[in-house]
Amino acid sequence: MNQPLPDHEILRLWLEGKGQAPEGLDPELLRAVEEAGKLDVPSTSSTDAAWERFMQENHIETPVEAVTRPLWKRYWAVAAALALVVSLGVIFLEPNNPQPQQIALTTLTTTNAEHTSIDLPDGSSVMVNAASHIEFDKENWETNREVHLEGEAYFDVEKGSTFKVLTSMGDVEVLGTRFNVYARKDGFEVACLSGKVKVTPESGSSSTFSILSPQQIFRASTQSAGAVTELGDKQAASWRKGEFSFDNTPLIEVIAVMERQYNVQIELDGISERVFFGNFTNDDLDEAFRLVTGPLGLKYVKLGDSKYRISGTD
Amino acid sequence: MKNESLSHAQQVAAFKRLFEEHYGAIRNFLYYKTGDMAEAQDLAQEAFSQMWVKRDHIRQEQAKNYLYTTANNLFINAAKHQQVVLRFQNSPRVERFAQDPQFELEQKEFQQRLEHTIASLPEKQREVFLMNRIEKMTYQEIATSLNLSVKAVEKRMHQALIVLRKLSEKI
Repeated sequence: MNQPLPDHEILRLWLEGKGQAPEGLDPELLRAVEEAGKLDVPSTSSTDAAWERFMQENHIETPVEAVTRPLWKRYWAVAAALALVVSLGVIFLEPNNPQPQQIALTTLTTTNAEHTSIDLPDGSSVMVNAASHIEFDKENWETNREVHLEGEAYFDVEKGSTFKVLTSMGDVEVLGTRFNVYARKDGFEVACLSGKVKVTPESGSSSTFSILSPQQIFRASTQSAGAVTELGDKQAASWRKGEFSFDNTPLIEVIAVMERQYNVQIELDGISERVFFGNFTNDDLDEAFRLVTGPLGLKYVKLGDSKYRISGTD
Repeated sequence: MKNESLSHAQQVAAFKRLFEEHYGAIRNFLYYKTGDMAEAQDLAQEAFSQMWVKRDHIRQEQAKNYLYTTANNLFINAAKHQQVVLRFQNSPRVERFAQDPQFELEQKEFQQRLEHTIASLPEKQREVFLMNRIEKMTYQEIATSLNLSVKAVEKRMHQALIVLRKLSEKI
């Protein structure tokens, strides 16, 4: 009954207001899309009021021009300001006035189903995948570009001194480039997207390292010492777009990715030795289950809150 | 001392411009996700507060992306969300229809079904669809804001339209 939708480009032009509604479009859909364009969020407080609240919550003073005031008024203001600073100082650490001697590592931990980006002091950026942890020393960053990583992260590094990613599975050194590091219990992978990347796996002596060029990936697992392969036209670090693809990957690893990306628990019923080719995204759990179980002829059931089981159909 | 306070004043002024430019869009973005305006306002405030703390390390051109990313993280980290119920208000309608009660009734019913269907969309489709429809953002703008590829936006819009097409079949 329903016509297939017109192609993306025609839809895009229409939805961006640059083209006519596509011909032969379901009138109900046409109306729904047009009506949706007339909707507005419920009335809410103004941006000005929000700004007032913001200043109050963040203890930002309204900037005022310096005016000469009677002496007693100034003393009163100073006393009041001091009292405020003292009381705030107890509660908050002043972010703009770090103690020079103190070594405070900046840490970032993501939970399941969480992706976060963070900028490093030199403008380099790190995008951290779910269930991962990074640490770095912000104060001594100029002389010490080192990030400790557990889990998986994508790095876009500004040119400069040697930049190191240290993991329990091995270390990665670069000058300025884009690359992805996966360092979890089940494996160590480094993919190079641009520039050159030096990988030294933990097991090897420091003389056994690999230099990666763009579209090359270094893979090591608990069973294998590690080897460099070409990515071909496959995209590295597609997790940044919420896309996960697998090529001859043990099902147990695929399930571990699903668990992290969707924050669910999945039991495998005696089929962990199967391998999976294919992909899924992190925005539709049911679809991900279908994509994984379908081709393998498996079935999945929901056991309870965020708990699932995959088993063979028997 | 004077210089310091001056530069602080300048910082506040620059941040205020940023706030005025993006606050509404970030709050609405969070509303599309949560369906709760009070929570959307709180989370939007929190996103700007986090940016204020890190203001020295965020370049101007990264600000928008930083805000959406932070807002999204705050949403994910907030308590589990119940079934979203979205409420909208409509822009003023054309007067000549207002007299026809039959039309008014039918229009109201359609509206309710539409809101219900939009609320039932998966969050990722809903936010993209409403960013385009209500915020009037292009696919490219949405992709840049959310760190997605244009292809991913296309896909989500497409999926949203497929659900909306079944509007008439839903009660």
